[in-house]
Amino acid sequence: MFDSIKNALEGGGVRIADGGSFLISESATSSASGLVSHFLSFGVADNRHVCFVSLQHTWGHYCNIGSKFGVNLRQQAAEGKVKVIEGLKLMSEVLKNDFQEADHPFSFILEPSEQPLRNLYHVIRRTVEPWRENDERFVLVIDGVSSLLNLGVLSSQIEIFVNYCRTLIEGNNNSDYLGVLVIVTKSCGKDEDASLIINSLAQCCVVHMSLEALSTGFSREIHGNLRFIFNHTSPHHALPDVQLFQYKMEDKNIKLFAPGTSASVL
Amino acid sequence: MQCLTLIRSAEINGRGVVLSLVKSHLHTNNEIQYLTTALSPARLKSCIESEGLALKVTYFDGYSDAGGWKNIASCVHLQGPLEQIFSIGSPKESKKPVVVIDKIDDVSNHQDSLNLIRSLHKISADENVEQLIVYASADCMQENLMSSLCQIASATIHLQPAVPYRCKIVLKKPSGKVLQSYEEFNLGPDLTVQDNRTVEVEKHQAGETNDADAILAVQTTFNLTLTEDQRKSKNMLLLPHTRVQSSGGQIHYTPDDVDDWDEEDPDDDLDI
Repeated sequence: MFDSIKNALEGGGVRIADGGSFLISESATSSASGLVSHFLSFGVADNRHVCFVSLQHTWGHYCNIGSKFGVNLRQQAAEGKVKVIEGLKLMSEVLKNDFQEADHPFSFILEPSEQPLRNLYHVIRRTVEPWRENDERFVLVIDGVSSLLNLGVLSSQIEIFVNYCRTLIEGNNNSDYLGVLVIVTKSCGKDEDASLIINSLAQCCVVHMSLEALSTGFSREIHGNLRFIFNHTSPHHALPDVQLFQYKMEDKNIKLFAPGTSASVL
Repeated sequence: MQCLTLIRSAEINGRGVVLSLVKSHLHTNNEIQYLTTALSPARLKSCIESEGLALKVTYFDGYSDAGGWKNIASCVHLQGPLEQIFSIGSPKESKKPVVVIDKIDDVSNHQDSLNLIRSLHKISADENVEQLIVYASADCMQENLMSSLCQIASATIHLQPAVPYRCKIVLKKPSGKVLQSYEEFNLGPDLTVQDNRTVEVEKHQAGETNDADAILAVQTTFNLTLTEDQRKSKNMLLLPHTRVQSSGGQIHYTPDDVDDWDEEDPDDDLDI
């Protein structure tokens, strides 16, 4: 877990431990893998159950990223602390016609359905249901919901799916959150569907973390811009609070600094 | 007004204004039927109850199982006609219910735009409904649906990202006249509208960036726009042909030595 991210969130009045929905948007030239590792390591360090749905990369990719940041995700998964739903593996089962279940989460690839993501939601629900029944806190990370657009899923269907995932983290008395939901999506101004997804999800999340590469090119000292958009739940706060940082990925850390204060400038 | 539409964007949250409208109806002892799709009814109830509002609100849960994936009977499924969700009939008492839909863009994910607009039209035209309040996000809906929504609304409030609240109000009167105004206001601690005032806003300051000149100015490094002084100078410039046409012109010709000058018309043989 990165102290810089934790401090930036707490600076906006948000504690991950309080739960809620978090949206991370990455662009084609900036990767959110570091932030995903941050939330995964938070769940492990806070002794929470972790359910990780990977739709964009293989599980091995995240393990490699995590090991660079000092988190041994393979060991955590082997010990049962991290439950992984590998989307790419499930998709390949369908494409090879190597499945028997009628309710396979990606059966919609071969058989069009009006509610294509319903089965995937039920797979996630069955994973977190035992934790919910015991009132045990958990972290649910879904990486790459915008990848589903490439499978023919409509943006409206993705929004419905994410809304259902949001209901999973609600507490039983509905006054607090039992879990933390982290949604990762791609941001592209030219893609209308991806923009619709971000606009919709950003309004119902506690924090929207937007990763963008530098518009002027690449820098050794600055890897991109990280914008935190804090949405207030109180009806009196209409405008979200926006904080802009620049970041640099280091060996076992993400360094955040105010724009214009990087080492190359100072 | 029968149908009031409140439109927000990503940069501003307008739920406070929706709750302010709800509260003003509760003060006049109206019954509220509230369809919630983005917040659970318990969370919304805590939001309303924390403001000390009366409890004459009936909640319809369109959040917990909107698509019917969990088969929860107590939840509202959003695929069917909207008018069948609410309890609208002959009012037992004299007060008609106020119907609130928060948010309509979530409902549009579950059903066809045409059916949705038809349902909204039916609810707003129903004599047994006091008012229909629709809360929408402009950047989460298709443009055709948004324009249809604005078409059937008798009043539309477009919230703009500003503090204090700033909005553009479009009001359609029964006579057919359309009034448009820009207003600023604050919401008090009890969600009542305070310090309401009309503001004069220039078109370009109102954030309407559909102007072709503004779009071109952003996309190129050349300066394609004119300042006000440049525009005035351009309008005052009298072009040479304009000056000649208005005051008459003369041709001055000095023949050379080798020219055979005579008075005959060279075009005399032409039958013009």
